[in-house]
Amino acid sequence: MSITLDAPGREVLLMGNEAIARGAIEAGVAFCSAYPGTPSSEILGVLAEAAPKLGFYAEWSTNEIVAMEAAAAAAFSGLRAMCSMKSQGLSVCADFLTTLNLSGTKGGLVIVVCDDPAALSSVNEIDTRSYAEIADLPLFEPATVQEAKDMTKFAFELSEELCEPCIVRSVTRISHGRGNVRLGEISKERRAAELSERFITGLATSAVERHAGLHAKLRAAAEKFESSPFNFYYGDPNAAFLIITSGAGWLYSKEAFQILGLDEGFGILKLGTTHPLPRRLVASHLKHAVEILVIEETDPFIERKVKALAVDLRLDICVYGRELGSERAFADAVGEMSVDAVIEALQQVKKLSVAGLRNAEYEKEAEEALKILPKREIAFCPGCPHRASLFAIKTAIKLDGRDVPVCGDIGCYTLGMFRTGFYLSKTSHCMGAAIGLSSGFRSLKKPVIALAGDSTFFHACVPGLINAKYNNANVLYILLDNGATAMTGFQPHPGVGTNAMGEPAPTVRLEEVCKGIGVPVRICDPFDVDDAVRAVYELLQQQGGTRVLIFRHTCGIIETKQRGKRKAYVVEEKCIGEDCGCNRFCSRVFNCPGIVWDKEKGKARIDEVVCTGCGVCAKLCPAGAIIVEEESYTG
Amino acid sequence: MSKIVEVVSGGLCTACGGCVGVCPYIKSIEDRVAVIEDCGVEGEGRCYYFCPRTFFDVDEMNGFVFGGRRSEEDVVLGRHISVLAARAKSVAMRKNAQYGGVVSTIISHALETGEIEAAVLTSGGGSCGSYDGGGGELLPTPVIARSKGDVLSCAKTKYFMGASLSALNKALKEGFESVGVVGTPCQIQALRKMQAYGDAVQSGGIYEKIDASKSVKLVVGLFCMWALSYDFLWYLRKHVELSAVRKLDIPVGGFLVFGEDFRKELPLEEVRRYVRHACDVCYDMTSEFADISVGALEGVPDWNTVILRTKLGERIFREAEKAGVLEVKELEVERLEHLRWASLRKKAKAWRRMHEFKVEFLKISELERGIVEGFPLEE
Repeated sequence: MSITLDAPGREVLLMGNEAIARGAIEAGVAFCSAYPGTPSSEILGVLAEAAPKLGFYAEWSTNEIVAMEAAAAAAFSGLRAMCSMKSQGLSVCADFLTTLNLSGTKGGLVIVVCDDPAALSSVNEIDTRSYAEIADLPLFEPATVQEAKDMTKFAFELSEELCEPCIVRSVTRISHGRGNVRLGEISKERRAAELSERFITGLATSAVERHAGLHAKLRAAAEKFESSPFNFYYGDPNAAFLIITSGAGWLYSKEAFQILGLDEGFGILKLGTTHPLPRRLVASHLKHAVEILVIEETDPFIERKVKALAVDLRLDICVYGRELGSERAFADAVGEMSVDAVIEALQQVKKLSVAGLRNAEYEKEAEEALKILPKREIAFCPGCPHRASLFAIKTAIKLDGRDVPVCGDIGCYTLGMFRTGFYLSKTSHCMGAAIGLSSGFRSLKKPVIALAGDSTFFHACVPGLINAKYNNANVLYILLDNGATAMTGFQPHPGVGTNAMGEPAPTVRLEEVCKGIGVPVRICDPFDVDDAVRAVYELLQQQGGTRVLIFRHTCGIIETKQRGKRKAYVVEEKCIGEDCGCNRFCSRVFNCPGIVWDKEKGKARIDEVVCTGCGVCAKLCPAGAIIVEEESYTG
Repeated sequence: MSKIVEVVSGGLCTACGGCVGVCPYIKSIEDRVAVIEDCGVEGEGRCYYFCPRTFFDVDEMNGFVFGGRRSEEDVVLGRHISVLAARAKSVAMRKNAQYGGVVSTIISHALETGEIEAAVLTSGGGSCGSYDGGGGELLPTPVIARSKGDVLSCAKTKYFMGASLSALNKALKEGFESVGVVGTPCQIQALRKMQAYGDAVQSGGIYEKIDASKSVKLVVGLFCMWALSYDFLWYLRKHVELSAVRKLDIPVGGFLVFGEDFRKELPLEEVRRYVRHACDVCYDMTSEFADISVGALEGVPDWNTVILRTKLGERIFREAEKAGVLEVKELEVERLEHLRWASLRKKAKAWRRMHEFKVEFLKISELERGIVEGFPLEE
C-alpha cells in the first residue's frame, strides 16, 4: 500500500483522500476517527488498513460528533489525532467544535472535512468554510493532491504550535481526484498518552477570556500564513486583472488562462490558507490590480474577505464574485466550478472572445453520443432489500387507505423519493430527521412512517426515538437493516460485529436498543413479501403509540459476495406480458434493473449480468413465470 | 382499472376477493382490497368484469345461471325450485356448526363422492396482529379444503369479510378442475360474473387455462344481512376477552357473544355502527345465484333454511339426503313469509341507498323495480 511506503522522495500516484491519510501518517498520527460519508470515506478506510501495520489506532465512530470528541480526547492526552467527515458531518459536530476551540488541544488535532459542491452525493452543497470563521480556527484548502498531503501534515504542526485544532477543507474533485505525490518521511515518534490538569479545568475560566485568547492564536496563525508556501502568485507580477482562487479553483483558473492565452496583464493569486486571511500578502496584490475575479466553491467566502480588505485599504477596485445581490456578481453562488465556468466568467467580465475555443466536431459528436446513451435512472441495485421493503410499505399503505406519509432519511433508501422507491418518501433531510419529523406530524391524526437504516439509526436516531416514545407519537419506525453502511462502501458499524481495523467487536443490536427504550419491536425479512406487507399493515392498524419494525436482510452486494448469485430466468410461455393480469409488472412497476422487457418477443427477460437471483420478482410475478434456481454460483 | 378504483375509493368494495389474485396490482389483507398501482391496461380488465359492484344485470345473470328472465315470483328470493328446512344428521357436525351444519355436510359429501375435488371455504384463524389480543378465530381466512377435516375447520359464520374468492383464483391457477365454492351473496355474484364474463378479457399465459365456468362445479350461497368491519374488534375487546370468544350470533333483535363458559349480549344498535358501508347497498340477502342457498332458521338453532335453486343443486342436495347425511323437512308457511319479507325489505333499503348515494351498478327490470319500490319502508 503506497500510503505506508517508507520511501521519502518517491513519487506515487494517490487519490486525494489517500494523500490526506498519508499526510497524517507522515505527521505521526496516533488516533484517527471518522463516520463514513462521500467524498470523505476513503480517508479512514485507508488509515484503518494501515493502522495495525504502523501501530496507530483507527475507528469508525457512530457519528461525526463522537468521532471529533474521541479524536479531541486523544489530542488532549498529547497524541496527534485526526477526525474526518463529509460536509454535513461538520454541522453535526458544530456544538462540540465551538467549545473545543475554547479549551484548545495539546497534541495536534486536524479536522478534515470534505465538501461536495454540486451535491453529487449529498442532500445539499453546504460550504463548511464558514465553520472556521464561526469557531475561529485556521483553515486550509488544498488545491492539488500533493497539497492535500502536505497541508494535512503542516496542519498537525500548526495545531500543536497553537494548541488549537486546524481544519483541512477538501472538495470532491480534490478528494476523489488522483495525482502524483512526492512522499515525505514517516514520523517514527511514538508518544505516551498523558492527561495534563489543564484539559480538565480548562473551561472553568471565563469564556470571554478564552475567546480573546483564541483570537490571539488566530493572529499568530495569520502571521504564519503571510509566508506560507500554500499561497502563491502566478502570472504577470503587475497584472491589472487578477483571479483570486482556492482549492480546485486553482487548476481550473490556470487551465482557463492557458486555453485563453492570457499572460500579460493577467495573474492568479492562489490561496491555500483562507482563514485567517494573510492580509498583507493579499493586499500586496490588490494594489496592482484594477479588476479581481474570485473563483471559489461554493459561497463567496474569500470574496467577502477581499472586499472587506479593499474597503479597509480604501482601494478603488472592482471585485467580481458570486455574492447574492451584488451588481458585480458573474453568477449565482451555486454548483461546482470548472474550467468552462471560469472561461465563461472571464468572458462575461472581461468581454473576451472565446470563438474558436470549442471544437465544433467534438461538440457534435458529444451531442450524438448523448442521444444513443441509454437513459439510466438512479435506482436500487438488483437484489437490494430496500426495493422489497419499500414495495411492502407502499402496498400496506394502500391497503390501510389513510395515505400514511413516509419520512425518509439518509442512506441508500433516500432513493425512496424516486421511481425506484415508488415515490414513497416525502422527506429526506439529514441523518435521523425522519423520526424527529414523524413525531411532529401529530396533528395529521394518523400514523406516520419513519425510515432509518441500521447505521443511520446508531448515528442520530436514538434521541428521536426516545422523543417519539416519551411524547407518545403515532409513529411506525421502520428500520431497514441491511447489515452495512452500504451507501458509502460497506464500512462496519456497531451492529455488525467488527471494527474499522477488521477486529471482532461487540455487537449492538437494533432490537435491544429499541426494547431498552420500551418500544415494541417486530422483525421481518422483506424478501418474504406477503409477511412484510402484513407486518406493515398490522402495525399501521394499531391504535397509536410508537412501534418499530425491523426489515432485516443483508445488502444485496454483500450477500452476492458471500453466497454468490442464483440463476433466474423467465419461462416465456407463462409470461403474460402486456395483457390484463400483468402488463409488465416486473419491469415496469417493480422496476428492478435485473429485469428487462423484450419488446420484440413481448416477454420479460432476466438480465443475467446484473441479476443476483434474489427471487423477489419471482414471488410477485402473477403467472409464476420467473424461476430462480436453488443453487448459487459465483461470477 | 378506473372503474375498480372507483369501487374501492367509493367504499363499495365488498371484499369478496374476486379480483384478488388475478393480477399483481390488486392486493388484500383482512377486509381491505386496494389497487396499489395503475395497471395501465387499456379498456376494462378482469377486475371490472368480476366485480359485483362495477355492474350487475339481474336479468342477464338470471339468464346465464337459470335461463330466461326473472319472473314476478322470483323477484324476492331469486329463482328457486324449493325452500326447505334441513340439518346435518350427525350431531357432532351440528355441534361444530353455526346452526344445522347443512353447508358442512353438503360440501363434505360432495368431496367424499368425488363431485368436487376441492372447495373454496372460509376458515377462522385470520389475522389478528393489529388487535394484539386474540380474536383470530372470528376472522376469516380463505381456504382450499380437500377433506372433511378441512371442511369442519371452516364451520361457523364469520361476521367479517376476507377476500375468500382469492382462494378460488389460487385454486384455478393451481389447476383444480372441479371446485366447490361457499360464499356470501356478493361472493356468489362475483363468482357468477367470473363464469359469465371470464372470456370477455383476452389474454395469454396462464389465464388461457383459468376458467371458472368450466372448473366450478358447485356453488353454495349463504344468507347474509351484513358484515362487520374489523374495527368492531376494538369495540368487542372492550366487553370480552377476544381470545375467549368462540362464536357470534345475531338472533332476532340481539347480538350474542359466546365463549366456552359465557354468553354475553351486546346492544345491536351499537354493533350496527360497525357494519361495512359496502353492505348498505347490497340487494341480495339469500345468494340468489347460487346452486343451493343456506341460512338460519329463525328461532330454531340447530336447523337451517335451504333454498334449492338449480337442478344441479337439487340433485346434490337430494343425493346427500338419500345418503342419510341430511335430515330434511318442510318449511312452515309463516317462516317462508318471514324470509320473503326480510329479503324484500333488504332489497328496498338497498335500492333506496343506491339512489341516495347515486350508485348505479345494479340493473333490474321495470317489473322488479315496481315490486321493490312498492315495499313500505319505515323512515
